[in-house]
Amino acid sequence: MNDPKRLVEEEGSDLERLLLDAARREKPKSNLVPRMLAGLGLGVGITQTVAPLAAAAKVGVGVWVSMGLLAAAGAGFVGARSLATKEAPPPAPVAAPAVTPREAPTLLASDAKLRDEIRLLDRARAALRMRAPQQALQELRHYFEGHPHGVLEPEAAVLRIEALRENGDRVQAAAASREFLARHADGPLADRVRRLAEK
Amino acid sequence: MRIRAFSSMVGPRALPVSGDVDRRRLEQMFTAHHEAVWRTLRRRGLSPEAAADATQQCFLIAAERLDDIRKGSERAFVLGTALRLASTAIRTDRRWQLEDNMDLRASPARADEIADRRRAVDLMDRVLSRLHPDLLEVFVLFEIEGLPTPEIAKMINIPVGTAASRLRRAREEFRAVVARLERSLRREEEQR
Repeated sequence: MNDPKRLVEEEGSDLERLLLDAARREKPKSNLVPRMLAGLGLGVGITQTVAPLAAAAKVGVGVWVSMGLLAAAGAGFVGARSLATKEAPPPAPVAAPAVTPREAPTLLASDAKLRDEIRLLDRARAALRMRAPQQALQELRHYFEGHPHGVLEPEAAVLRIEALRENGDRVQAAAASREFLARHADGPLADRVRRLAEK
Repeated sequence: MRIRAFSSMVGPRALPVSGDVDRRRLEQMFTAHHEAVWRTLRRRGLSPEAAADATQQCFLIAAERLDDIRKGSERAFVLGTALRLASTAIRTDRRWQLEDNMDLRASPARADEIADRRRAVDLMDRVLSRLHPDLLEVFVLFEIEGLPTPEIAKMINIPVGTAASRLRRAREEFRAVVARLERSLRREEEQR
């Protein structure tokens, strides 16, 4: 099956290409990258590369702007609204990320849930490392009870398969593997589950 | 949903990678894919800051699962994780009010063009907000991030035919919305 050509390359209208081109060029502001790296604990000496200006779209912004259309679009599409913009100061080049502490976060409910997911999976993983599969399964039961639609559900399911195997519950592990592969056949963890099943 | 920096959620702890090789691999993954992850989260309606925090989360999850990520499937892993995170986010943090959040150094230096490009991104997101989330996902990955449909299908766990079908419908919807917008713009211009 051949993919169609992308709208921005050829088939799109001028306005379509203009919008797509703008979206393709958007990048995180320079101060966000070191912040992400700091959170990851990475000290990457990433030099913030300033991508050369990509070849201009076949029809530039100017056409629409010169007609005042883009500004009008902001008002016309979703109702009158000020789209006042101010030019950002030129960002300082970032040779290496400055690891600056973030301002104290305000804990939201959604954050607490994710933190709890991570905590329970960490505990399950630690129990598995200590060859305590029953303890791991108990932690995972807490996980599934507390987070039936958790963000880390696939990871939890794989840990459960590992814990079942470690606990000698081969039949249950096989059933859990089949269930996992039925739901996540092409997911990034599928190969790991297949490998486990082959052991 | 305001997605917090992982470090603020779990407190200081070692990155879950062991050894220089893993760390280098994670760094390479970050360097190669963080912009695409961030953009994808942005197109799902997250603010620049929230997208940065969610990007960080994606790479922490990647660090946890580094051994399971096949060589060559790193992009699929982090973008797939980003989509899962985005799908749990509530679009309360809409970003119609573009302030000084865009890094425009790659854009033309002229102030009027910078402002125009911001408006274009703003307008693009308004157009995309008209698409069904399932269609939006495929559209963004194909049209903005340039992924082929087989890779998209694998990433979001759908058959390739479904991905192609969603892409076709997404393009139709996108083009219809833009055409409607274009007509209204021309009408307004004529009335001036």
